Order: sequence, then C-alpha cells, then structure tokens
Amino acid sequence: MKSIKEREKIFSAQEMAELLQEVIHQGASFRFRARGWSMTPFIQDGDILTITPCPNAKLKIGQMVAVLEREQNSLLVHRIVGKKGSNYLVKGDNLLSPDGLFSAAEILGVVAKIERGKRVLFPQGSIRPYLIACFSRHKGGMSLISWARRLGRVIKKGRKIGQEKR
Amino acid sequence: MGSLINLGKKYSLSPNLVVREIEGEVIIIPLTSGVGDMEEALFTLNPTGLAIWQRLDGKKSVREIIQELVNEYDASREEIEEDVVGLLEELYQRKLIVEEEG
Repeated sequence: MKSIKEREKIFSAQEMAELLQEVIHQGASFRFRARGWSMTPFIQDGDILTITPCPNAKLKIGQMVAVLEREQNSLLVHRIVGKKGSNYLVKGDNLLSPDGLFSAAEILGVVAKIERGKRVLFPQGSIRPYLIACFSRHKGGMSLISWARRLGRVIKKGRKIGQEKR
Repeated sequence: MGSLINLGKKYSLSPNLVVREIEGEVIIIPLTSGVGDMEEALFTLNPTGLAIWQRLDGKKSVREIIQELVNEYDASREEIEEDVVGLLEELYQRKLIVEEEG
C-alpha cells in the first residue's frame, strides 16, 4: 500500500485560510479554486485563483484581495473599495455590507490571475478596478455594472453579426 | 535498475514545501516554482508514511531509520525496508526531500 498519495479533498474556508497563510508566509503564491458568488461576475464559482503576496505600498483601491473573515477565520477574496487612514475597506462586489476595515498586515495577498475554463484573466490596470470599487461601494452599483456588461456583450454580438453579413 | 535511495545517506524535508495537519491528516503542499498549488499537487501520508516522514530530520541515515522502525513496530525488517525505501523514492522523485551533504 502506498504511504503517500495525492490528496483529493474539499477544504473548508477556514482550512483554506490556514493553508494560504502558510504558503504566503513562505513568500510563495497560492493557487486554488474559488467557491461562492460574492464577487460575481469578476470572480465566479469554480474559477481558479492565484493569490500573490503584496507589499503594503502596492495595495490600491479596486484590487481583489484575500483576507481572513474575523468571526470564523475563513478565507474571503473580495475587493478593496476604500481607504480610511492606513486601513482598507474590503467588500464583496455582490454583498450589501462591507467586510470591514483591514490593515495592510491583515491583507494576505492580491489576486494576480483568474483561470476560467481555458481563459486566463489578469486583473490589471488601476482605472477600471477603481471604477468598479466605486460602484461596489453603493447599493445597486453592481447591478449597473452587470447591465453595462450585458449591454456590452449585445453590442459586441451585433457588430460581429454585422461584419459576417458583409 | 538501482534505487535512487542510498541506505547510508541522510535525507531531510525540502525547504520548498508547506506541511500542515488538518483534521488529523498531514497535508503536504510542494511550492513548485514559487506556487503552492491546491489544484495540482497536494499529498497526504498514511500512518506508515507519517512514521517515516517524522524521522526525516537529516540526522539519521536511512539504515538508522529502518532500525528504529524495526525496534518500534511489529513487522519484519524486509517489510519495513521496502516501505521506507519505496516512500523515500517517491518523495525524492517529487522533490519533497533532499539528500544531505556528507
């Protein structure tokens, strides 16, 4: 019987948080499958995320970050939507209330890559995430973003059909 | 084909891994190319594997580890040596252990 085997297990959010902290503490990135809908459409259930360590100086409003939820010590991957003093306000895009204020030391890492099926997305830039954070702060703001995305897809589809007809 | 493992050598855990006990189970995450990958490479040890793993401190040779286990467990030397060498070969191939100098 083999003494070592590849592990197939679904970890709880608390267990995932423990493992992420250990990995990030060693200066490495952490790659795992996201669960939940709190950051839809930007992070969807089943997306594979890579979280990298990030020094305080590089944290910005709009970035998607990993933090520990305080009551249950579970892992959250949500967005920095504001800053108060040296602390960052973190919130799930689809949630009505923010998670709270977190110091730089409490922010475990940032989302560097999102893998969705065969697509690989790199959250980059500062303007678009900043605008998303502004909408996320306000009730109904994310609904506007969802509508804007749907409208964008309809326009894109319309253009594609138009080009095919020519 | 000869074994990768030399019974006279000492082996220790690679510095590039995270080991954590979760619900009584030892989880090993190799940090390959600077990434702890929960989707690809995640290992666990059974009780036999754990007994061997805990002795990989770089201070004892493989032969000494086998002798310790022979003294402690009710199994033949041949069985224990087979388990130890088999596990160490797999750990070595997966770069989870390193050979100590000297």
